[in-house]
Amino acid sequence: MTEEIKRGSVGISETSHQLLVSLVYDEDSVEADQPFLSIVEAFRFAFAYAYSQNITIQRSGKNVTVAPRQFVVDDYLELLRDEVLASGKSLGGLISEYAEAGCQKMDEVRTSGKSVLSLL
Amino acid sequence: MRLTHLVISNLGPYRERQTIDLQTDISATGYAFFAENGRGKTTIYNAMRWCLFGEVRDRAKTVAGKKIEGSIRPMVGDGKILMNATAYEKDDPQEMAVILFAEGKRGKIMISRTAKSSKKFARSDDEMTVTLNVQIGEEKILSGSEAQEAIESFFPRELERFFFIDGEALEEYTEMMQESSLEGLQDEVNAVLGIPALLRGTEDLTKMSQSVKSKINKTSKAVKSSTKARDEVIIQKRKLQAAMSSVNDKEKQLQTVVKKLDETMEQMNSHQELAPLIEKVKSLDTMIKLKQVNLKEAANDKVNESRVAWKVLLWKRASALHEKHSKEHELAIEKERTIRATEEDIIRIANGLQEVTGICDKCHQPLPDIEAYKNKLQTELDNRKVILSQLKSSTVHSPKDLIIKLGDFEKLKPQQDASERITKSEKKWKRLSNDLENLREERNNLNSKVSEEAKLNVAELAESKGRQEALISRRVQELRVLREQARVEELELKRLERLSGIVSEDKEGYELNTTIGKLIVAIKDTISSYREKARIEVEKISSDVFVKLINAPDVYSGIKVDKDFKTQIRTSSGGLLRNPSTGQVSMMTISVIDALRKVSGINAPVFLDTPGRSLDETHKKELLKYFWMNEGHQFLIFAHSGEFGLEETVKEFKGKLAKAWTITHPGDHDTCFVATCKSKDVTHDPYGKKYTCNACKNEWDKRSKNSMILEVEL
Repeated sequence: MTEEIKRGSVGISETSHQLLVSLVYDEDSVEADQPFLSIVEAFRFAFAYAYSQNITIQRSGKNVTVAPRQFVVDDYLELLRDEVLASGKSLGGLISEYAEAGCQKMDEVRTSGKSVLSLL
Repeated sequence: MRLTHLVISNLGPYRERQTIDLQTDISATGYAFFAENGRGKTTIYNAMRWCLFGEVRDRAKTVAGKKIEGSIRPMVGDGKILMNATAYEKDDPQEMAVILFAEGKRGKIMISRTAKSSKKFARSDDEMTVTLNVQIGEEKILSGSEAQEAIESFFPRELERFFFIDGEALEEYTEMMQESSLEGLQDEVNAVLGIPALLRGTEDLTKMSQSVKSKINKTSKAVKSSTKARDEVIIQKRKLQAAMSSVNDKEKQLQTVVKKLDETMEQMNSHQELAPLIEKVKSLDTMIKLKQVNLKEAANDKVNESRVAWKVLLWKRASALHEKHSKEHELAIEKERTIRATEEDIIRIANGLQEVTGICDKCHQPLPDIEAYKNKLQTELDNRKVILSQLKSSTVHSPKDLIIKLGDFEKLKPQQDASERITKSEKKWKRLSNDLENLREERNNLNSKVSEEAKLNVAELAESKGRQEALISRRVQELRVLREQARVEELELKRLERLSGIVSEDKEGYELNTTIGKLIVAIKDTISSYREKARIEVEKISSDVFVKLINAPDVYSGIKVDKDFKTQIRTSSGGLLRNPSTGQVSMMTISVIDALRKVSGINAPVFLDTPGRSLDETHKKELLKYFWMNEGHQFLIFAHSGEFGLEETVKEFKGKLAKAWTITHPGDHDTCFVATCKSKDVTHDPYGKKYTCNACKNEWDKRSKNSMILEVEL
């Protein structure tokens, strides 16, 4: 059964990547809304948010890969198994779509002046 | 002064009371005591001395050119004592006394000296209590030192040897007169002239002079110190001036800084309206810094808490799947349990079917319709198998798979309060962030109200103020030190000024010393003058006496007394007699002594013990002739029978001799010695010891050594 699911790679658009970079904590600018210690954490947050809202966006433009060692897709296999099987997408691809959608929402929130964590 | 009575009690050979009555109706001045040796002539002589002066000193001796004073004869004790031996050995209390009655210018005089043992059988003078009483005229009775002073007012002790003349010591007098180096006579001359007081005055003045000189020397030293101190004062003044100058400079410096500070304060006052704003900005800056620190902490917290934020989000949807899988898991377990139960039922039914015998197990009767029963079991078995088949075919996930699945979901599950904590940290960060922003806005608002130039000015002024205050503090400290130094210099200056000030030459001391020196010179001159006058007078009087005494008045013109009171016999030819005889020298000595006595002006009796010891018959007679010439002075001689014979003397000096006594022991008498009896009709015991006068019944013991003083009928 496992063999039927493709792992695929995880990545996001350059725009989303830039967004994620801007959300990484910098202790020299503690006033900025930068609640994540790393890009992966920010990516995971974006993915989680979009998953919770069940929204996905197809990636477009230049893709930026997320390091597989830091984001292990198998951790989410059981969570997304049915979807992956149903969609025929790779696990990484599905996660990336969720993440992309999450990034877009996060950008919107920031643009609206709210904090990222207000998405909780 | 004229003696009237002498009472002697327990002195020498006189046991009990002996009274000598010197009163007489005639104007003669001669008194004579005649006795053999050891009868008590000198005791009477000594009794007078003891009564007057409280002590009897033995004759002085001249040894190797130096006069050695005689020792004081003790009243009691071993050796030669004053007290009567029987009284000393047998009486209790031991007591001796001398009472002297006289008449003087101030009336009747009574002098009483008594010595009484203060303890039983006293053996030394320390154990004797001496009492002296003196009464003059109707005055109160004096005692102790007052009494002694009263005695010496009419009988000076220094002149004792001019009134108590020891014939046996005439050689000593002579030696003193001929050897002026002994200075013995000079003492006598001084005493006669009252010079001891002057000499004592001279000594006192000399001591005063030495004291003043010492003071002057001290002052002189102080003057030197003062001079030195004055030099030091000049140096010290310079030091003080320098110190004061430093103080002044420092004060000026301080004033300058204070003035500058005032100016700064004035300038700061002109910016007074800005000060609160600047202070507020400063305060806001501080608060902002603090807030930044807090915000950083909050940001860190937020970041930490945010690490599980994705789980919170993910779980919102995943929780449904998790629940679904949980239920599947429960169902799977239940299904497995049902399968196991069905399988067990199948086995049981199948076994039952095989074991059917047609006999009841309980009643052991043959069962009716056994086949029907078997068919029923078979149907039941088949149904069970169908169910089991259905159950097994419907199974998708085993409970084990589902457990693994659920385990994977658990990894995605956040802690229960994760969301709350994240929100809380987010809110805190947000609040602090807003606060910080507000503070910055407020600060910016304030900053916009204060120009940068003004702020710069105020800052500079504040800095200047701080610098100036620090400088003032330093200057004040320096000034304090300098003032202290100046104070020390001033104190030193005052000390040196005191040292230099007190001391000027002791003019008064010099003047006093000069005056004292003059006084000493004057006194010495006076003494010299007195001595010279006295010498002339003594020379004149002694020459007169000598010429009267000597048996060859045509040959000798008198006595020469030189400035050292060395005496020599002068011949009529004007020369000095070389190698005079012993008698001539004795007469010269007696002449000089009498001259000195006369010069002294003291009117008192003269006592001459053993008067004729060194004189030949002629000179002895001349001596008495002279002294008994009725010049008003009582002249008492205590003569040994070898010197002057009683009967010849009484006969020869009839009219000159006022009274005469013999001193004898009872053993000296073979006939009655009572003056009014004189009977020769006496008897004695067979041993010739005890005698009795048959006429007057007077009894006496020939062995007795108690002397008797018997008045001679003239």
